[in-house]
Amino acid sequence: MADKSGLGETLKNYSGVQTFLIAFLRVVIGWHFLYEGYVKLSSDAWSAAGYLRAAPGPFGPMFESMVSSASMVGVIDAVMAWGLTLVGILLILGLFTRSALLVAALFLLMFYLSNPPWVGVQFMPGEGSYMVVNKNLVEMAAVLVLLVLPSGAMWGFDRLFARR
Amino acid sequence: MADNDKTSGVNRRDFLKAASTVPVLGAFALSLKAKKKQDTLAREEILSIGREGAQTNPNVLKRNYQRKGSANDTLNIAIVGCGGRGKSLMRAAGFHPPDEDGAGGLEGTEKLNIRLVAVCDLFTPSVEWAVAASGGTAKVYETYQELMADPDIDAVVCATPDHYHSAVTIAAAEAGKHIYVEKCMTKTIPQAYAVRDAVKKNGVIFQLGHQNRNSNRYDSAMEVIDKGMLGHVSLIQCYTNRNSRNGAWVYNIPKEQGPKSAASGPRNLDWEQYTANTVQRPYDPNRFFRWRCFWDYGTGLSGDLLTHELDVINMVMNMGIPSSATASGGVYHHKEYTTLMTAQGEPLGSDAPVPEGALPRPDVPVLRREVPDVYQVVYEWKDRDMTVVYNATLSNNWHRGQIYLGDEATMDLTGGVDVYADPRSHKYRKWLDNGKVKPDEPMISFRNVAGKGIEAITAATAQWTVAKGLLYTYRGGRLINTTYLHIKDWIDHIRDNNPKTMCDIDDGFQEAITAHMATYSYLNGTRVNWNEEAQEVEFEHEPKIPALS
Repeated sequence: MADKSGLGETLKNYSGVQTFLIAFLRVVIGWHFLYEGYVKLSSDAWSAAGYLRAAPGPFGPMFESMVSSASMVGVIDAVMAWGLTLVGILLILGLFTRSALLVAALFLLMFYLSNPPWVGVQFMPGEGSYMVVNKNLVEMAAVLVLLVLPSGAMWGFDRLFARR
Repeated sequence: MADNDKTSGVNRRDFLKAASTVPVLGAFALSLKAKKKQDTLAREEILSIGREGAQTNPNVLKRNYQRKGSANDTLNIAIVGCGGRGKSLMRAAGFHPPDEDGAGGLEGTEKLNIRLVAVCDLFTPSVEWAVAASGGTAKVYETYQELMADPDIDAVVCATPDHYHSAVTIAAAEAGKHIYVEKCMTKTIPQAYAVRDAVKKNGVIFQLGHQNRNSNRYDSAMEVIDKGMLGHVSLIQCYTNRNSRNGAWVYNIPKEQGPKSAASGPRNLDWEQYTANTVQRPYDPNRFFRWRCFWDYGTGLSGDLLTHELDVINMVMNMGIPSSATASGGVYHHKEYTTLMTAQGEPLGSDAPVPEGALPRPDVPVLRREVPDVYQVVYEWKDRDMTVVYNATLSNNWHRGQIYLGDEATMDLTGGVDVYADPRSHKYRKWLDNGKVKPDEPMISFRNVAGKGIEAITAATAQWTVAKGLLYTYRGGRLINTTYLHIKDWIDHIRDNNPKTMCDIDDGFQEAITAHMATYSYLNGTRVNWNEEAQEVEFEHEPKIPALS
């Protein structure tokens, strides 16, 4: 990640506004993940099973097979709730940012594929109007942009581990 | 610049930049606290609108029964009548042949510690099914009377057609055996008295098969009623909506059918015993396998589907037997049905697509049902200033729920439990005016598993059965078989020697009388009254006001 001229030099190439906005983007995505995770952790009735069983589109059967038994449902629910919470905290702190972003992108890809707003797919309606692109895809694109930027090393705890 | 100080590694400025977003976590925590406070306030404010729980409904105490005694002693049960419903009951209790799947919704549930030790059924394949389900050990009895004499049997599950319910229940009670009987509890009004007397006299533990009582939405519905949130409930609407031949009780007929007296073909069915206590007629497989279509054996919509609605309304409102019933309807859609087979002679399901070259089955006469497929009943409770309207058709699947109409609010049990303030309400005026309560949005909404669980079941009929609690409900976020819960409730009460089961003999008596009042009204074309003081049903045969005078 750090080029030969050192991270310090790379970071100097960003203006103050750029640095702020990149951190801002990462923090708001982190906030979103953290709250989604918190809601799932704090609700004793929440389960991903219903959503996954109803997953439409070409990947529907795959998602449905993921929740074929109660133990699988338990694992998936735990991965979802704790995964979202942990990713959220790490993104807000800018700690292990790259790994957290990778996991975030994977989560968002799964959310997108489990209910793809594609033409010809009877997808589950939510708020808003979508055709091909929905908020999951937009958020995933933002996460991918962050993946190619040293956001954690600008404002975040990754700075403490960065090679310079 | 400090950034360039490569020797110290981490300096103060680096640390400030590293920790710059930590306050965001603090902001998150503060927002969370504020949001929780707001949500809690809204909930408490709404709940405070209701009065203190009156707790006058004893049915509340029956919910979610916790067994007191131990379950270490294995109970021996017998099944009398192991057709469609009997098999469902056995599956829910954990018994099924090794090559078949068990019931859904049993994952993670407590084992009942019961043994299936005996079976009595009039159709040989059903007997064989039950024996296989028991692990090959169940004893086979030709008659229920012989079965009752077996001292090893502790308890009996009766899922015969309605015309044998009272006979089997009374025989079980007289033999000191606990009894779980399917609804409708009896076929006639006098039988309801006889069953109640037998169960009470012998002190056996009785459960009537209204498993949908276990649906957890009724916990919320009963709380709403208990807090008086609806005001005066003057009208309750309830419905049955189905649109298939199976839903209209035109079940498939196996090709193994044939009476024991047949000169040729299969001899699997004890028609003599089947008709022993009702009208004697020549053998007709429609009258055995599709018995719900005929008054000789069944109780029609009243006993089969109306009771599901009226029984839970009685549980929620605790209103007992209605002061009067008026019914109307007719056979308007499923008038005639010719049972078909393929060109190769294989039986076709009654709802199966009809292939090219399909032929009428020579072994099954044309079905002409007697019981109505469109049916309305109006019940009055004069002492409660209340009417219940039941309305059903078996040829439309549009989902209509159960709606409680009060002068302050409406409770809709169509999907979950939704309580809407009435726009003209006095009680909710303040909240309606300040916008905290909107008349077109529920002020209380109870959904299983945050609404996701119900959506998980996509087939319309399955959704319906979850919504009504007929097949499944939720416990701890899991979809649980309500029939299992109902059997467990019975078994737990047997172990505790506690007669107050979820649907006990008093509930059963009320259920049967309520259903039969409607049937008698329909058949006689007259209003039927209940004399609470005399505990008797009275008919209005003569017009009180002369017509056209």
